[in-house]
Amino acid sequence: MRLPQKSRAALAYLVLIVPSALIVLGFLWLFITSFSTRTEGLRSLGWTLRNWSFLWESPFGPQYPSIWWVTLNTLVMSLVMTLIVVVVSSMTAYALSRMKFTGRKSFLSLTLILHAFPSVTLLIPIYFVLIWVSKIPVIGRGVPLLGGLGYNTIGGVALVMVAFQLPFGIWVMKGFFDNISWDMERSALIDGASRFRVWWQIMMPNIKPGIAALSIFSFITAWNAYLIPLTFTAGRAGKSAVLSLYLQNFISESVMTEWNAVAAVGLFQLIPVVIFFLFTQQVLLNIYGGGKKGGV
Amino acid sequence: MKIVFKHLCKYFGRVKAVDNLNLEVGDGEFVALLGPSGCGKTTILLMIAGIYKPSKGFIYFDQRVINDVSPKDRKIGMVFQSYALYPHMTVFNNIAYPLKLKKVPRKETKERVQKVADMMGIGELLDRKPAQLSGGQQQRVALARALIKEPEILLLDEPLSNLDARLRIMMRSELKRLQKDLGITTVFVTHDQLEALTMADKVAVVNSGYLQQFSGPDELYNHPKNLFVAGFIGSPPINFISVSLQKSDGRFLLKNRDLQIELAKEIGLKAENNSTSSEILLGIRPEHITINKKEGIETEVYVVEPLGRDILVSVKLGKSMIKVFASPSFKANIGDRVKLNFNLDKIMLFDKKSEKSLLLDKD
Ligand SMILES: Nc1ncnc2c1ncn2[C@@H]1O[C@H](COP(=O)(O)OP(=O)(O)OP(=O)(O)O)[C@@H](O)[C@H]1O
Ligand SMILES: [Mg+2]
Repeated sequence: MRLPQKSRAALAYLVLIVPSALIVLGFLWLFITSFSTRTEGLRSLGWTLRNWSFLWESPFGPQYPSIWWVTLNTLVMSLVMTLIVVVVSSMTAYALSRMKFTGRKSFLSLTLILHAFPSVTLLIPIYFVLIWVSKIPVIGRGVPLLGGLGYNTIGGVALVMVAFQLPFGIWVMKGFFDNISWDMERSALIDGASRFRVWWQIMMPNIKPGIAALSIFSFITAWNAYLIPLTFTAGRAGKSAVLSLYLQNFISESVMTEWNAVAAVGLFQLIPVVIFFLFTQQVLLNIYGGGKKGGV
Repeated sequence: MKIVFKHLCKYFGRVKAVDNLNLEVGDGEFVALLGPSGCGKTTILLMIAGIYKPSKGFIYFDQRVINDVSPKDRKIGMVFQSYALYPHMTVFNNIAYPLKLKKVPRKETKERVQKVADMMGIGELLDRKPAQLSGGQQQRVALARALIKEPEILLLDEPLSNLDARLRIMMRSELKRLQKDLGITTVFVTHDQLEALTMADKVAVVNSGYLQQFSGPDELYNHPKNLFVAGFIGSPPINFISVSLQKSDGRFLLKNRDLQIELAKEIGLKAENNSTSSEILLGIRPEHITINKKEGIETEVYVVEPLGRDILVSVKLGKSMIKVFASPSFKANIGDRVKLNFNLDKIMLFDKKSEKSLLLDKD
């Protein structure tokens, strides 16, 4: 039995609308709650801006870093991590996809194993490594913005995040490189390009969707990371605190949790992700909409 | 520039893509590499271009061994089977890319791109992206990009295979003319024998990595060295008939259950000398058989295909099918009894075992 065109479309919409509605409902609640003194379901029992006061005053006292400092930390950590992951993955993936060298196969399976490896088991060894790095002058803990690459620095956390993200990134990028025709690369070599130039001028522009996808994934992973920043920084009170740790301030044992404020911070944490997503998604859509068809 | 291959081999693991190839492409010559799919044609081109390194043997440009010269130092232009245009660049940037890499000044680049684009008839399309071009236009862009370097060797890998039939015939003559005008040594890969015969000065027929024959189109068509070449060249293909060579009181006869042909003495002698057994294959092209209703070898019409200029008649001779060209005025219906006459000057004879031609002098 085949449904007529119209009712089939309606069915498809229904299937899409129901789960979307649930998600939208959640965000709606988050939004309303963050501007209310109290709520009853989706109904506000009085509007207020007090939940957002963390933006201009520190609710926990001067020994805790402000929201803006924490946001900057998170942004630096996420961008640095994303940048390194994209650059390293795409170079590694190019080599793995296009070049013959001894150990290529084992390298590939190793990355796959690493990706599947439970990262929790590595936390303690990495802790000791970072402590050791901290003792190196300058790169250990003397770099502006990043702090350094050691324990309790943004750079150190970013580096650990990179290590965990790389296997995934390499596999994603390798898939994209594998899909680019050899002829294009050979043609560029005959035209006089070096291998590096081929990678940069011919291959990279043609895997923009891959770069965009990996950027989104990496950025969101870093932005929402909790376990790794918690383990390798001094926590929510430290100078290297990130947003996910900041949120923890509100959920303490001693006082009643202020859910309205938690909602506000949660919403605040969401904003950059949405912006970043819109920005990269534009690239994705442009590529697919631009039509790569036609057997080029 | 002259290209010489000496004992050239290329292995991919256990696959012998090219095996002991010896060939000489003269300066300014237009040579076609002809062979079925997967016979190693592209591999040969990529070795000339320097993308693949030969497993064994040598490639010379003039007197110089270039096995280890990198692609960019070989002064080569190449058009790929897939055209391999850079989809993210405009047509202008595609064509200008080789010059950009050589750091040619902007102004000169612009002039040269415009000139070669005008020559190829794509001067108006410079701002477009490859995806916005038709197959024929893409092919011209690829050719322009290969030519802008003013290469000393031009390599073309089935450049016409993605075009429709009409455009292909047009580009065939245009490419031939262009090559003659520019005088660039050109190696052209194709699996279309008509393309090879019509365009090239010399054709190298390759099969499963081996060079079968290297000669001019005429020679290839009329004096194929072996069974493969005879069968591969010509459309509709040559007719093969299994016969045995017999000698009775000084006369040479080709015989099987359905026919008996007397050979001229010198042909018979040659065949007898060269053959390893009396079992041989007779080859004759469809245009070298005449069909009539009065006298000749007795056959029966199987099917009639009008081709416009003439008609192609398939007849049944015993178990084998024979194709014959007849003039359009010839009327025949399926099942009619007709008679064939072979033009004995044009027949070819092949040894069944070695598959070599029996009529060529041994070399
Ligand atoms: N990089 C490679 N690795 C392994 N085998 C290869 C490689 N390139 C080619 N071959 C093999 O070598 C043989 C010749 O390939 P080649 O591409 O030269 O054929 P071709 O004559 O160009 O065919 P076509 O007409 O289909 O393009 C084939 O059997 C192919 O499978
Ligand atoms: Mg090929």
